[in-house]
Amino acid sequence: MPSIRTSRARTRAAVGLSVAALAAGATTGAGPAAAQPKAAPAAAAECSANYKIEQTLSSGTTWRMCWRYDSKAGLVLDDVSYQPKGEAQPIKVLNSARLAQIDVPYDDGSVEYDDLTGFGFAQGLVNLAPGECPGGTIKSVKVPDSWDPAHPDVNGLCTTTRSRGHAYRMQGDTADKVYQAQGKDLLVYTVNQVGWYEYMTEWRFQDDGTINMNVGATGSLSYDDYDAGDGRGWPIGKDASAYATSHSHNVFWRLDFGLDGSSRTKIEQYDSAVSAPAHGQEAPTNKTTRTKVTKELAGDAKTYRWWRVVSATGKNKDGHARSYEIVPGPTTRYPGRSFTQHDVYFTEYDKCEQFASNNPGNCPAGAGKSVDKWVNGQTLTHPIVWMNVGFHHIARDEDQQPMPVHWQGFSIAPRDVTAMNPLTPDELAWQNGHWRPRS
Amino acid sequence: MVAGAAIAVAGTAVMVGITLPGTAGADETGGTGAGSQGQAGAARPGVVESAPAEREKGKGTDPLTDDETKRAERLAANGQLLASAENVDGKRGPQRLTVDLADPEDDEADDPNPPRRADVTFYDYRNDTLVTKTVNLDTGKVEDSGVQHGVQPPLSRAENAEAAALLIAGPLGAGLKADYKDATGRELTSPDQLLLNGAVYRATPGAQPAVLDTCGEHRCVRLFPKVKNGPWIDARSIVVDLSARKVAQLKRG
Repeated sequence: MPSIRTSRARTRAAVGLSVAALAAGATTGAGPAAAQPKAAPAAAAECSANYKIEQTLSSGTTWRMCWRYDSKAGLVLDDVSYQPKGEAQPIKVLNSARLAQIDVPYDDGSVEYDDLTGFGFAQGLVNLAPGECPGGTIKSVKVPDSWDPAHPDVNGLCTTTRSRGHAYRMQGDTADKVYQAQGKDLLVYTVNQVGWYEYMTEWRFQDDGTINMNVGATGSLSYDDYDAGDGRGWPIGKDASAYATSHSHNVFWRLDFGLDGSSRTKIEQYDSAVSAPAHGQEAPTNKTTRTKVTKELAGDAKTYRWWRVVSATGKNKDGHARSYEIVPGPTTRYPGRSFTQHDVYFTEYDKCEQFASNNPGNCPAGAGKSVDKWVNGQTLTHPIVWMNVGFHHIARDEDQQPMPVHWQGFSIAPRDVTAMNPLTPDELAWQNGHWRPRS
Repeated sequence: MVAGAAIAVAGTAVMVGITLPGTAGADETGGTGAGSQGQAGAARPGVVESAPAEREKGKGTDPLTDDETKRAERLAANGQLLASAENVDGKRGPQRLTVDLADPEDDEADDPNPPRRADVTFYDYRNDTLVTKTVNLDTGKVEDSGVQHGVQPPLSRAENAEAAALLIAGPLGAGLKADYKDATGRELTSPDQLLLNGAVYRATPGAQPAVLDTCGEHRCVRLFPKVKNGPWIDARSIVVDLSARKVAQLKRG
């Protein structure tokens, strides 16, 4: 476990391994992401050091990725890999991850913005003050055609770490024995100004292998639009005045998985069906079935349904195929557009298919301009996952001023990437499968 | 199981004690339930890195270097395009929009070092087309080329500036100029005095005066001007058709 050895070396503290793993104060891995010594042999370098984010969290997990900045998508994370303490090599998760659209239709039908493909989302990257990236590092980003010509280089990319509370807790056999760990996350985020709105694009890499991607909207409401009627807005001035127009933010992410270094991943859908208790049974029964998604699909989330992306090549130490599960967040699916009518789209990789709507990519004539059109029966050999998460914003008095951040997003969580909890303390490492208490 | 909680707790205290300012992460403030760490504001502010020195060529998925960007643009804007196309000012040569690192070909997706390519986009105001060229930066070849009509990507800074210039020069710019004067006490005479956001305007049936009905095929913009170091000015009711070089007011206020 080289990463733990590294932790000890850096703290210069002669404490036990379990302490390094458990102690909330072991922040050795939590400094500036760029300042990490190379603990383990990294995968073949796919970008230069300036564009690499590498963070060993105090629990021993290392995340690595490359970043760049696209003229429309903004922040792009490439070659994302995860290496928990028990793994000798980084496990590749994603070839590439980025936003694929923020579609903003207003409830009164007056306007609809496509922030990434029609507005200056990427051009609007803003400088972060040091206090906005506590404990971390703010990287300088060269912004193509930045909206402020005086500042083509923007101090706009924060990488830092944060605690997320308990990663686990388990009572030991004796009263004073508690196994617990405080989870640590690597955070990578930017803020992009689009008109009066400011969007925070946050990527959160947990030490247990989960990745959360969220967009937060803050800044200011469109204050010259406080003229909506009943049913289209909400009065946020004194008495029945200043009706802020309600609107939706339909945010799309595009994830290109490369699990274990292979893009030839498989998509599976799981559905569970609950039946009333049969005679003699205490409870209803629940049967879960797997459907292999072999062709392009526009998927609808529903209760008891989930999807996962399965590695074509990699297995964990239990011999189970590695996979990542797609964990949807709360969403308000917008029925107003063909491309917002489904929660997830699985399409076959095509480099011209870049944005979920108003795609400016150089696709052949007739290819369609939105993700729903690209679901047309192709066999999936290199699936791209497009996630659509909608938020209907009916303003409230508290939205002035500034508007508190409202978040929307989802997660991908490891399923069988490791044979056990990647944060399992060493003394519990034998408790895998059908174990029996030892004395 | 001997290295139990008691040692871990002691370890926590030791570690907190030896964590030096400047090496602590943000999680110093975020420890839920870790009483000694609950003080907000204890984490040091972020360290601002300076812009990295660029090499001539990038590696792997690095952003394009300035050299690569210029080279890609030069290779993409070949003789014919330079000779026949028209930019936003009506001058010869295509309007430069963007140069980005291109996504790999599908069969290169698992290659750790695929060729670096650039997607270069231009707008040709002569015939209202979006021109995309994919340049292989290793070989210098233009590998792919496409022309699309009716596709309007985000406005470049030069286009936003031209739209503002057209607005300032015409009668519909009166409101913008008045607001600018209110905010600054000075006259607005040049787009340079503003920071300019712009949103592509695409016509929908019945939503705009006839003069704007071709927006979408034409390249049209709704400006979001901001006084430098000053307030935003609401100009959303006005659309500038850059292809026709016309300014018009939408019906709604």
